[in-house]
Amino acid sequence: MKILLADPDRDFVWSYREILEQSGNEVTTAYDGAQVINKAFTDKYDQVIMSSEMPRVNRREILQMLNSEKCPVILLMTGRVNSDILLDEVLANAHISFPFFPGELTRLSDEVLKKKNEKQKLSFADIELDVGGYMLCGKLRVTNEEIDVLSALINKTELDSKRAGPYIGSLNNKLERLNKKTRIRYVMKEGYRLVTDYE
Amino acid sequence: MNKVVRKFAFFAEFAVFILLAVLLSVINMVNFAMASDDADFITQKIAQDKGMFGADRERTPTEMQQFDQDENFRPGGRKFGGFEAMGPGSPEMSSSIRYFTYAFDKDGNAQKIVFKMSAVTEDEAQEWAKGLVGNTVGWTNVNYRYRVYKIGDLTYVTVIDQGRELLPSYRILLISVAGGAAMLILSMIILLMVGKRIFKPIEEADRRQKKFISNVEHDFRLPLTVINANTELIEKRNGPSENTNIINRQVGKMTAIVKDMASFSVLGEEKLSISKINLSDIMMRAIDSRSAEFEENNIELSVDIEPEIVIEGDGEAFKKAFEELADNTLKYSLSKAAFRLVRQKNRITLTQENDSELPSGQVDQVFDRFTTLKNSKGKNSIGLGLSYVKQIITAHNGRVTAKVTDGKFILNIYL
Repeated sequence: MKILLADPDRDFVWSYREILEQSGNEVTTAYDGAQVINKAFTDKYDQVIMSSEMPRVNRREILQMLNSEKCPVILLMTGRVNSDILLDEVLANAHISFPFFPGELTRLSDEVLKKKNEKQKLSFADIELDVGGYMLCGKLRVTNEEIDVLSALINKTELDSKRAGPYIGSLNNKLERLNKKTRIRYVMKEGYRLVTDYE
Repeated sequence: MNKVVRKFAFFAEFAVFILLAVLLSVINMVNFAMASDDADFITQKIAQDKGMFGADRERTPTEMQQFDQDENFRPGGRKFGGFEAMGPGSPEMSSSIRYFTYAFDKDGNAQKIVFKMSAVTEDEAQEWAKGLVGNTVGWTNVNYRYRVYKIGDLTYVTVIDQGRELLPSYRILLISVAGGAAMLILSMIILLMVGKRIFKPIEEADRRQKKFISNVEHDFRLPLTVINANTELIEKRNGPSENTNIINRQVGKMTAIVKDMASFSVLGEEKLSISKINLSDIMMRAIDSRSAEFEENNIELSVDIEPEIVIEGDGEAFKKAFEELADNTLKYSLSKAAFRLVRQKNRITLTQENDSELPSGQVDQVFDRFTTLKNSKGKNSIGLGLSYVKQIITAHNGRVTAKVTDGKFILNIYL
């Protein structure tokens, strides 16, 4: 897998380049936003792993460009993943907050790549989830974590309620934006469920 | 911080109000007491002169000549200019005082001694005086001072008009009330303006402290991630060793500290991330996630949550606040705990109750940051729980109150 790794901290880039290369990836590095844009234009990457705080060009502009290139992005977050980020039209495919262990990043990287190659489309009542396209009902972008939450709810598999936290709210907001009747609701003793009687 | 400024202004204003009230009350009381003394001096003089000023007696031409020469006819003697010629001792007193005196025998028969008044008729004055028999000295009909005294078998009643003399006192009273009110308004404005200046350094220090914590937390995140990566790289090259194990353990500890700091400063520098959130679901999940622990601790849990309470707010902040609330309830409940979330018109109320050993005197401390109150299980809380809850609720323009009554701790959240 060809990965573009971008962060202004050279120690971080040097260390994680080695980690990612040891996992069998071909890694190119960048230290500011302008370099990310230049490299993403001149070469094609399977994935971009970059810091949420890049110098010279802001995150949103970089994401806009990478979204249009359909290049999956993992954003390295210095703060928390909040609804401002998740409800923005310009969205990364996945987020991971500092501090993390190398294994967490490589696992996430593999997950994003795996999802990207999936042709699976899940549906429930009036909603449809395009896993590989990271799209909800063909109109709104969703993140890797949102796909995990929604897939678990549609497939009725175990959902880690604690990890699902911020994504329940963002998914409900997206369903409302799409004027869908389906919502995620909490049922005591049962946990989160998809309900369709919502008006 | 505005709340602190308002609180400071309120208490300072209260102190100003007390000071003004005492000062102006004393001034006015002394003023009216002095006016009473002056009036009593006059009625005393009239009483000494048997019911009327010497100058008011009818006199023969010889007496007139004597009057002109005898200072004793004038209550204040002959004085011209200077302070001693002012007030009730003035030689002009007899000609400026409006008064009347009636004398009554044992049978109540009246005898007019003098009548120099325009506000009432002689008959009215006589009735008035008659009504005052039995008293000694005092105010009547607001502006009139009277004195009742005995000369021989007769009871004399003298009433003097002090309206003009009291006018300045009434003016001072009016000025005191109006001036006092104006002073209070002015002092409140000054206190609010000055308060902001006084508290600015404290606010700045508080902001810097939060900024510092936020920066430390922020700046530690990346190095920890880099240390993690390099420890793993060393382990891959040379195999795990006691040294890398120690690094991993210490990094784990530091990561936990950084995460604690993140929750501590979540609203310090970071703004709320507002979106539509389902408060009912967040509350339900927070309680549900701890329901097993409530059972394990034999705490009877009662939950009454109205569904579909949707508000604009920071979902993650509420989630953490409600989890802290549930944890706190778990720690301090003896055998019963209850949560109730309802919407009434535009007001959302969340009530949390539990039986508690908390003395009512300590209830104000529950919101203090880093205050740990010993709970019934003999453990100590970390001291951030309810302080965090209050911080989140206040940031959403809500209000939190707590009280202890009959061994029951009751926490109310209003949104």
